[in-house]
Amino acid sequence: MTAQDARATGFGAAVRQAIITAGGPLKALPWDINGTDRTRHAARTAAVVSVAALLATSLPFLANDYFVGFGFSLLVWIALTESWIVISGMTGYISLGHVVFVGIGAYVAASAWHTLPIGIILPLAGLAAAALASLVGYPCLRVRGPYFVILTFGLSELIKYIVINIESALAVSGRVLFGAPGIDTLYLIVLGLAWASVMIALTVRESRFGSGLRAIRENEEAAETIGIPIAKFKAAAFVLSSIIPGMVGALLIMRTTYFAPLEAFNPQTSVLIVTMAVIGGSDRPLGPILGVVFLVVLQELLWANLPQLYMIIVGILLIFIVVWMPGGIYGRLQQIIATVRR
Amino acid sequence: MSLLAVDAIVKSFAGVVALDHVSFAVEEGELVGIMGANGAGKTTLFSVIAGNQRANDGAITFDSQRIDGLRPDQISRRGISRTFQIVRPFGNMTVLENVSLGVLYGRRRERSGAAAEKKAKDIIDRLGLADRIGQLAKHLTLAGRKRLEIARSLATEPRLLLLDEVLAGLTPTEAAAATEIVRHFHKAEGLTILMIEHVTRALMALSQRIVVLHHGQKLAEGTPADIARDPRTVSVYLGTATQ
Repeated sequence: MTAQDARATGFGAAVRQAIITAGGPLKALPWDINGTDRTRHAARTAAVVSVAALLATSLPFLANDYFVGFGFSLLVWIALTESWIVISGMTGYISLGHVVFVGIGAYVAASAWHTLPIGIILPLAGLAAAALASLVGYPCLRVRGPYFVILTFGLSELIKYIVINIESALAVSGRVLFGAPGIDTLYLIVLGLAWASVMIALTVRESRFGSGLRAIRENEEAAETIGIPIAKFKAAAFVLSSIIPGMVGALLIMRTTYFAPLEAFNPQTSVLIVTMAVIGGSDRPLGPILGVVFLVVLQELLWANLPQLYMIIVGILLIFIVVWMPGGIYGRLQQIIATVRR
Repeated sequence: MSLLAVDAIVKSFAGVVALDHVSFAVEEGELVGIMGANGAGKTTLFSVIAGNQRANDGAITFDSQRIDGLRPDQISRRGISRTFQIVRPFGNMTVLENVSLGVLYGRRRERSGAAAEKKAKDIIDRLGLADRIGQLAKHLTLAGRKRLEIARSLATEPRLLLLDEVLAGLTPTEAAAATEIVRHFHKAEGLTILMIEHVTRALMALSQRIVVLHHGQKLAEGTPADIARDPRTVSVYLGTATQ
């Protein structure tokens, strides 16, 4: 057991292990051995995802508002979880504060709503999240394991209360957004963001940059010793993972047409991101999608019938997956495929 | 001008002096051994040269440029590569991925993944790991992981290789094979090597020169024959003879 392993105990380590277990290559799958095949496989995945996204653009024309709304929340979570994977899945630095980027994006959008057009607000929200990430990235990413987990959680709470205080100093209690676009438009925008987040995760994973990030996850000191500029890489991954959540934050308040800091910075969002990634398993883009679909569908079913049980069931599921299915749904599927092929 | 010049390096941990004004030089193409009991400061010396730890005082010059104070990745890119005594493979990555990373980020800074894998395969072949190429590093035996450690270091195309006890924990057969690998890269490829080794016999056979560390100080320096005869070394290793 290395010193790094010893430090990374507890929750962070469990999550990290869950992601690594499914993220690590399985011998039976050919693309893990040969680099060319791996690139081809990634290209195929990208093509499949793009076609699926294109097909999904037709949903607003086919389905009623309920289903479009359901699609919207599904895509929101895909965008958030795929973004999170870029820092936490690749480097093993588990961020439990990713809602902070959603909140900042939402806050920027709410503040600028009546002065700027939506075409400027969206990139601005992403930019604000990126600015925050680059500001806190370097100092935060110096600590590892459970300390990083706690630090990110604490940081997002800190920013939440700063925003609450700014709002009360300005004598604003909640901001209402008039004239927000309808669900069909929001759905199409978030579809674009979800698609982009999958493409980013896919590209990063197969890139030179991404293998450097995964080396950091495996052994940071060894990574640094063979020439990987670890501080720069971690900070870059952190910033990259913050942009889309910022833009998603802006879309979320256009959907609710109301900005309240307690809701926009709700830590439950961060927890759900981690849960979805763990249930899905893997640092490969398909993993988080499986986790998101599973949990969002579950949420829809439970909210209709047993709303008060939702978070309890989510908690039980998380424990079950971490203990008995460390590779998540993706890992289990991979095992099944490997067994069938043998 | 020496390839590596270590000049009066001091490193202390909370008052305990691990390296006390250690100075020596390594010439291009040489194989220099480092000897010393546990706690003599050998591994700390490597960490300071490779940038994993920062010296409190002194200077390290590599290829006529000061490298003390640089980060490990910067030092790696200038051409110094170290292995770790306690191996540090990227456990959940394959042997090929491990070695490719060395090519991608080492001195060559290869941009193309395909070219990196080609180069990595060549190194893996030469280290006798070809049949393990698709295996996860964590599934290798200790001997395998030690070879991987060397392979990953070599993949960065170092001008100076720092080997930290690559023979320790191996069976005699495995150690002999590893010794041959080191000898090959030194003799046939002209690689400059600085190696720490507890297996004195191997060190004596391989090195042109040996530096002996004791309690953080340089106790002796010379050819293997000199060191074997040196009364100071003998007293440290065997105790002082009573009249």
